[in-house]
Amino acid sequence: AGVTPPTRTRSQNFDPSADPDAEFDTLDEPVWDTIRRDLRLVGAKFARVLKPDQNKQLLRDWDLWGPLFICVLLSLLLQGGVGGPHFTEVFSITFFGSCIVTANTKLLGGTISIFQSICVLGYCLLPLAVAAIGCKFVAFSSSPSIKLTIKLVITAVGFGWAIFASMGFLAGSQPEKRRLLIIYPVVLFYFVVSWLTLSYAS
Amino acid sequence: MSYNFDQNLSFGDDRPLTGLRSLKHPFVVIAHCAFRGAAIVFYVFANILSLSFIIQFLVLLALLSADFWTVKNVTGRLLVGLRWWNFVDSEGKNHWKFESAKDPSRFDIFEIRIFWGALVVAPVFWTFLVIVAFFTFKWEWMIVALMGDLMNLANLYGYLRYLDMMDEDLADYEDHEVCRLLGLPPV
Repeated sequence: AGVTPPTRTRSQNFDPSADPDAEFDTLDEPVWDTIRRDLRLVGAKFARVLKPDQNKQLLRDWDLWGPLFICVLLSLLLQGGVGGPHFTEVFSITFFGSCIVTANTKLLGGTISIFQSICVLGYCLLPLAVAAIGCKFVAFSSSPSIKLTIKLVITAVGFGWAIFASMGFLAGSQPEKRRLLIIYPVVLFYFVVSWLTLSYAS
Repeated sequence: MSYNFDQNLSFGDDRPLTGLRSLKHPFVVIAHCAFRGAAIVFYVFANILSLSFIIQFLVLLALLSADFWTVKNVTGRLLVGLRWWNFVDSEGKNHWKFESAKDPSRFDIFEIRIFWGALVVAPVFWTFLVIVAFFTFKWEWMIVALMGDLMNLANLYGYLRYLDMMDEDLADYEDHEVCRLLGLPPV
């Protein structure tokens, strides 16, 4: 109830961006508190992607651990096939693709910071990573056309989910007149990754 | 200047004068230097072990991530009493926030020097490795070295911004306090 004096905030519940002007003192907190806080924030973002809600606060605590983990996971899942992409190729597409889409958003006047945008785009790749895992398991079923249909459905769901989740994060930070110009590269980015998933996750 | 006599006036503190045990936080110092040292060593000698590129990449990524997190969240505040935060407000603007210890003199001067030393030397090394990779046309390794460079530079940049911010309030800081924070001999 009311405002807790910042220095008495329990370290593991401490959220620095909730009130950027507050004074806080985490210098002497136990190392476990630090670990727990960061794990909690990353976990919360994963949950937010899987179940989008209206909470904008989470967006401001950007971190790149989630995107890094997801890009590595996707790269591991999609590489190695015959005629398929290499690990570095997928990693470059996902990571640098996010950077390029971010650059586009910034140049068109989005009010979102670079790291926030990369963070959001990276986290919203999670549904596609899940779809890639799903496609890997489909490989064990029988007829090729059923296999393809199932993979198509899984990937389409992943694609739609990724778009929906990222729109939830990005809405409100774009200037009205240029919404389509900003949304199109995001859609294209997820489409390319979905295509890779459909083609090479097996 | 009073700090010259700090080590000799620590009554009841019977640590040896040299070696790892002379440090107040030997494990923290090891953690500070070990991850970035291991990353550089592993990168340089990676080709001797015949692991696949992917595994080497993942090992380096793990070491660099561990180093980044440790230096930002643990060793900075335990060795020099500094911590940097960066977050974004509702308008999408970047904010930097810093915490610093109210009593800087409780930090050991050797640990301060090791802290800043490792913080500066590692990015220099990585930059050299990027240049080597570039001129030997090993593009994949150049990307890896670049990643190491950026992750180490990020921490250096964060901590240096604190000094930059301190610059504006320099009137609040005495010269000898600034020097001690950096581990430099007093002016």
